[in-house]
Amino acid sequence: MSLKKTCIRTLAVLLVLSMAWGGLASAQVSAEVIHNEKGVLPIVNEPITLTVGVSQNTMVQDWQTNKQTLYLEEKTGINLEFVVYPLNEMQTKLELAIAAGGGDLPDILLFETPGIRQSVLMPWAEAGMILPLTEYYDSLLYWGKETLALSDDIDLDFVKKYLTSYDGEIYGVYGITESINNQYAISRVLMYGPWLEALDKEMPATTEEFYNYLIDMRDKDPNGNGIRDEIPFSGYSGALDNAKRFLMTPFVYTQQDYWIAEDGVISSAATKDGWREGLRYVNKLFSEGLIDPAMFTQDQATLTVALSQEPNVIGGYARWSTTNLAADDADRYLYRRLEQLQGPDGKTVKSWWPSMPTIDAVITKNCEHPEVAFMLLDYLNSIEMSIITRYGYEGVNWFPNDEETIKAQQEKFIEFWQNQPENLLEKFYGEDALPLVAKNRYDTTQWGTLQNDWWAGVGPDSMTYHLDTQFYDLGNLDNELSAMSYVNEFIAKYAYEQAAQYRDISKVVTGLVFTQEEQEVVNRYFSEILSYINESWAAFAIGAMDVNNDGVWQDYLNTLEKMGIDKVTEAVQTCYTRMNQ
Amino acid sequence: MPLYSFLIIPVVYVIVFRYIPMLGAQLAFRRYSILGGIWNSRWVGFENFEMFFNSYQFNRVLSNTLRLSLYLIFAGFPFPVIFALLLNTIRARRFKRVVQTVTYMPHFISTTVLVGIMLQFFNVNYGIYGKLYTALVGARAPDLFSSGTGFVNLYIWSGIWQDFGWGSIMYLAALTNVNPELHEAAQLDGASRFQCMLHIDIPAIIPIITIMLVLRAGSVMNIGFEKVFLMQNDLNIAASEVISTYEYKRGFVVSSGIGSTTDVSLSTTIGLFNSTINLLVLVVVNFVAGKLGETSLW
Repeated sequence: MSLKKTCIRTLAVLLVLSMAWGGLASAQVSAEVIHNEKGVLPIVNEPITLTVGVSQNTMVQDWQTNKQTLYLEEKTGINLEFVVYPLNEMQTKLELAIAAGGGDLPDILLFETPGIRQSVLMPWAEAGMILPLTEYYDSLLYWGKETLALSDDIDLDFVKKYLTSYDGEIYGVYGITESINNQYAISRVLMYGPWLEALDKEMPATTEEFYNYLIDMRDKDPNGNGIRDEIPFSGYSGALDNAKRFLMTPFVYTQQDYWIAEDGVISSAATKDGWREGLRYVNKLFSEGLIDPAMFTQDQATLTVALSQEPNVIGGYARWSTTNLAADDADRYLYRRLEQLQGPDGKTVKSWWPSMPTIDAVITKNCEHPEVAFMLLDYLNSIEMSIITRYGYEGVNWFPNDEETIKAQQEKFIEFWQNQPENLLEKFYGEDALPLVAKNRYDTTQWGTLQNDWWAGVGPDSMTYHLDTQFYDLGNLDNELSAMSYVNEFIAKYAYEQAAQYRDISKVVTGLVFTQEEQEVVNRYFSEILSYINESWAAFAIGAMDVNNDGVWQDYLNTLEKMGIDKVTEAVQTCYTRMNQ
Repeated sequence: MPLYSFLIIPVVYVIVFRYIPMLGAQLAFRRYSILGGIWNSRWVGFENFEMFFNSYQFNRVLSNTLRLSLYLIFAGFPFPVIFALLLNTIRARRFKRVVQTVTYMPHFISTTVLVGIMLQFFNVNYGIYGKLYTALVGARAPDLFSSGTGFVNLYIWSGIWQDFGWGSIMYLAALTNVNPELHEAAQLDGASRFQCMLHIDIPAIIPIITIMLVLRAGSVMNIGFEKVFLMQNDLNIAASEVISTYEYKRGFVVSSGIGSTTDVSLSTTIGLFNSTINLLVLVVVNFVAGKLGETSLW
């Protein structure tokens, strides 16, 4: 008995001593500078070890022996030791560790796209678990700048603006995925090309033309089977927002969560007269059987079955691309993107959602060398490492194209566009438009397979637009030629210039960093408001609620007010004003 | 006495997984923060309850939950009983076994798969339902998933279809305990099969019916989360938002736009409210059952 007691006592003393020693050691080390000048590799001459927390990933076999890990260790002189959290449980595990005092946190935490949310991170920062990195952005940032130079829209000020928390500090290292296609895909609608030809119609450009075209599809038997089985327009529950944004934007600018900024004043689109006008239009389409009401209830699989019928019965559907159809389905390449319609006021507004920087890595209080950790994370944002993190290695995972291939592809593109019923390339991008062909070729199927060469996009990486468009799967080009999203990216350069007028960030409400009080108001009221708006939109659209009845409309507005929409608007306004002074 | 030691494992299990988690219910009276956790978050009294009771959704989720649940009990409860009684009168043993197996098989289909099957089956354009309706009536079928009543009926009757076979096992077991002499004596006296069922079989399983009904009443507010959630859409939400889905949405769902909108305290409040009502109903029903039929849980 007494032996056991002695043992426990000795252990306790040892424990206390080791803790004291650890504290002492950390106090000593952080004072001296152990890293080289910024921009110089290796980052440290004498090897140090940093622990790195990541989530288990279905594409990365073993973080410790991953080729990118070894390469990074060799380049920077830093040993990386990984702490791998179970799939989908990283945040929970971290919060448990934080609630227990945070002693178990690794030095660095890496997050998958789209990073960690400010609202999740701030309580950690307030508890002192996460280190502020603001001064390092001024004194140590080097590699990230070189990559940011490859973007026309995003610069360091932009990144800092949306990363800075309400206390004025930046708590993480950013990552960027800038995709022109994604920026416009949120309101995309696809129309079945052959029916345009069968009905001898131009692509509709106004809400009125769209309405007439839908009627023609319904009545004029474009699939030629003698039965009125055509469904002019459909969709599915998972892409309802695409349809909603597309149909409503001609009447009122419809974005995610329905906020609008007009000269700095925030309001909700769902309370506007334009919203009611839009609903009248949508209700008209539904009540005349032009839109398939099944779009509210069916899932993607059911829609895809419907789209694969012979003969085709669906005239168009709301989705960001046709990739839900099988790659060997000829129809996949026959859909065309419908441009945003002109509203009754004669103006065309294009729904646009900017690519925002995300917080992809943070440094915790346990890190003894935060400057070194920051430089390491910054190095991940270099052009070289960004490519490796997202696409792997040259000659292994991707291959540069020679000039002849590029030229041949350009010619193929031009020929393809010229053979289209209307030469969109010329129409939109001018007579001299030269398609942008990716410099490098890679195998798209690599994304999604388990490998041990690269980090599969985890952690900071800057896929700026000029960088990302250098990589495309040319192997499959002939098939993908007319698949919307790919073509859109290939001619991204022209689309980009063309679309410049729509990219007005002052009209978009996004990237808001709330204070704790604002966040509480949003948490309390907003989810209910949002679901009520969505539910009412559906009810108005199919006529369960009468949009033309003033009483019903007033009730709807009153309910929103009762639910606290003013309080949330005020919180969003305060936050928006603070960030955009 | 040593036999009681077998109880240790189940008792420990119940304490660890049923009683200790109950301590978390105090979050209903606190404002949850990650750092404070369960024990150190700020006390706020009944603020969360006020929030829930004053919420726009309160009446809706409460009445939807009760409607679905009562409908399920009244429509669903007789089926396994009747089915067991009928099956019990069948004399061909092999036929009986086959019927029994076939009817309880659907019980093993997972909810996700079941809802997937229903979505395809009842699709107005391409499902069997839609095609048949169009072929017979000539018009486009009404979309059952898009209306409140359609949702309720689909939910209830798919549930009954899936579970009546499984639910009848308990009653069948009770029926095998009926003394065959009673049947023989009744038949000698000239009783028909129906009369045998009425006067011998039914009285024999009344106690188990009562117990099952009392237990079922104890979960009157527990409408399973998964199936409702999977069947929900913007059109039927007015009839399909129930307490469990609402609790989930307030506690865990993160809106993708302007920020997280989770509220763990409110979610706990809803759960606590739900459990309290369940407990009350259980006690009341048990009391009534005890008074009426001398069968009760305690």
